[in-house]
Amino acid sequence: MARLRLDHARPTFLPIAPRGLVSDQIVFGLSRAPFGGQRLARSAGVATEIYEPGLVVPNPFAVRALDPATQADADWAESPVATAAPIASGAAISLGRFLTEGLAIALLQRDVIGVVPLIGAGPTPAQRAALDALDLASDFIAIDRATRVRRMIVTQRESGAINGRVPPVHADRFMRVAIEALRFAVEPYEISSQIALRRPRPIADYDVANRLSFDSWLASMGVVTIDPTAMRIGASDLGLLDLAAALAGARCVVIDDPSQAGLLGFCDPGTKVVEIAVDGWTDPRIAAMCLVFALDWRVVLCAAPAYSVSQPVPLGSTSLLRTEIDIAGVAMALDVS
Amino acid sequence: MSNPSDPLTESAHFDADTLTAVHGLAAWGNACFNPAAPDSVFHHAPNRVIGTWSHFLGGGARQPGADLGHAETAVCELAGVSAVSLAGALLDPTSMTILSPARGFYAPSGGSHAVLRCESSSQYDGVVTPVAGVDIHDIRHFLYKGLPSAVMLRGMLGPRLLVAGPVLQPWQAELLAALGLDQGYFSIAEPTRFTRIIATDMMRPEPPSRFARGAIDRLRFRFGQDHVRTRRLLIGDGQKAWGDDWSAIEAEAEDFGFEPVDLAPLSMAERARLFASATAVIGPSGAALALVGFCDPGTAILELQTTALLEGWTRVLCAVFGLEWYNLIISMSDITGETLLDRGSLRICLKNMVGAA
Repeated sequence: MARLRLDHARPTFLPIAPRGLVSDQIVFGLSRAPFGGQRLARSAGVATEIYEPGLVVPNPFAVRALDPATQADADWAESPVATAAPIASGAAISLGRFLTEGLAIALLQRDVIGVVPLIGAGPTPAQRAALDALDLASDFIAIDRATRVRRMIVTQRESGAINGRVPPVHADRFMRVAIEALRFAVEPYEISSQIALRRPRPIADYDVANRLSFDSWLASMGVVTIDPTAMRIGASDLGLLDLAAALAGARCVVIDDPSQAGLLGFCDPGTKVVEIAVDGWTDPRIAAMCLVFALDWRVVLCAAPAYSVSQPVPLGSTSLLRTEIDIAGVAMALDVS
Repeated sequence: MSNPSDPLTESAHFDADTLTAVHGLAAWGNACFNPAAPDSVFHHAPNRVIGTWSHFLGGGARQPGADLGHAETAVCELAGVSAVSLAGALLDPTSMTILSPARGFYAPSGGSHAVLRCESSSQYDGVVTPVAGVDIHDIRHFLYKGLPSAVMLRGMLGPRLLVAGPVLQPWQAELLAALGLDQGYFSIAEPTRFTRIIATDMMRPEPPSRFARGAIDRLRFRFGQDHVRTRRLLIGDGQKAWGDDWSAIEAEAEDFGFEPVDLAPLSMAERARLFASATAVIGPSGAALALVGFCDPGTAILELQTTALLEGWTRVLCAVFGLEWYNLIISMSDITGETLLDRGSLRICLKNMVGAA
């Protein structure tokens, strides 16, 4: 049976790095271009469909339409409400992804389609704070197993399959909506004009040989480090609005985790963003988010390991891959206007 | 109602900075809906300087930045945003002037003295925000300044905040309806005093702030998109003042696959979908490029800018919305005032923008 569908946007490409991948102006460190020299990131198509009925799985988050004829045999819970909209939430979803994907869609649905209860994994405290701030928390239905919803309103990002493969998408305009609403509700507060958004864990899944040196160097340069996963700044806990205010007050942000790229949206236009990436393993999400939010993106490429990734883990390493942050490259990226 | 002009002089204006700042969302909400709360201000964003690189600054001897006071660097200032809460203020639906009897005219709203002289002011017991500023009939200002201000304030403060203004034109009413703001829109015909008026300085005529994206992205979501996304649009409605030069621009643009479009018969939804379907847009500075905010990020925009109108609106709009801004400066004769198009520069610009003809 054909489902009702509204296309909000078609998949397209984003030309990242408006000034080009210029060495020592945009790209620092190794003399190779990131992304294989390509300047196009993927922007998702966005469409809304109604599944009657639909199934939502909280972790890992997934939704699908159900065939009404087979629903009686399945092992899933029943939603307490007849109509709901699924949301990607919970501890498995980074805050940056939650704000730019799940929350943005929930807000658009509420403002444009109407009030619909949200259904998804129980939100983290920061996610709950965002839902509260946008008055979306009261109708939230937390689930811990696959749940059937009689009428599910599903707004999804679609990247467009190529030869049967679904490519990753990096950013789109609708990711701005919830961020702008939260940003409007805070007054910028300058904890430091330079902030590093970094996890205690190394870049992506890498071991970083000089992590302690880099941390010390950042501190000596007056860069304040925020851990967006733990929502901490030094020994202090950080509320969501604190995080938004601190980023809004910054003029330069160092970031190494593409999954938190959405948080950059709290920065005001023109803020310098210095991405730390590993050569050959670059991810365009941060660059794409900078284009969508009018931020000034630079990247520092660090050397990739020379050994084959199919080898056993090197002695003394906690992960297979290892790199060393190019501190001189980061210093240059911070200095260049 | 007493005549509000008594404590005022003809030049009494005030800015947001003269009010007491409130810190924090909860305190601001209280300042807006507590009848006893004093006038106050909430600072959302300070002024920011942003880079606005063009992919082609061609066609004229001068760089546009030089004319905007930025001789060497292509940067523009993005105006800061503050919101004010004014007890017992009046709104004039004709000029959109806001008048605080205790303080004078709220400067970003202009200052029509007609509101001072009006003796038939109505009174309404409610908290409102104006739907637009002084340039309410200018589509650029309505779309990117007034409407976003109302949308963001309503989102922040909730449905208790009503949106007020004059009887709207059909295109304005269509936009409000698309955002769900038509329900409870408070239409006024004469200067009206409200319990409180909440307004931002986004109603100033400067280029749009980041918060314009909140409203435009919602509208784009609401209006959707056609399945085709390969169109190249030439906007301009003939540009009669440009004479033969406009015909030359049409001819060159058509060589590169651009189609002249007439927006006049289209609804706002149709216009939004048209721009959403574009991969490249050409138009002269000003209202012709007002709708490029509906284009997807990365869309190439060519601003045809005469030396008589070197404004920075479109370049900031493109920067804020993540669009690729191209700029062709067209000289004007000092004697006749005619445009002096350099077709070679135009072709280079088009080639850089969309590839070979």
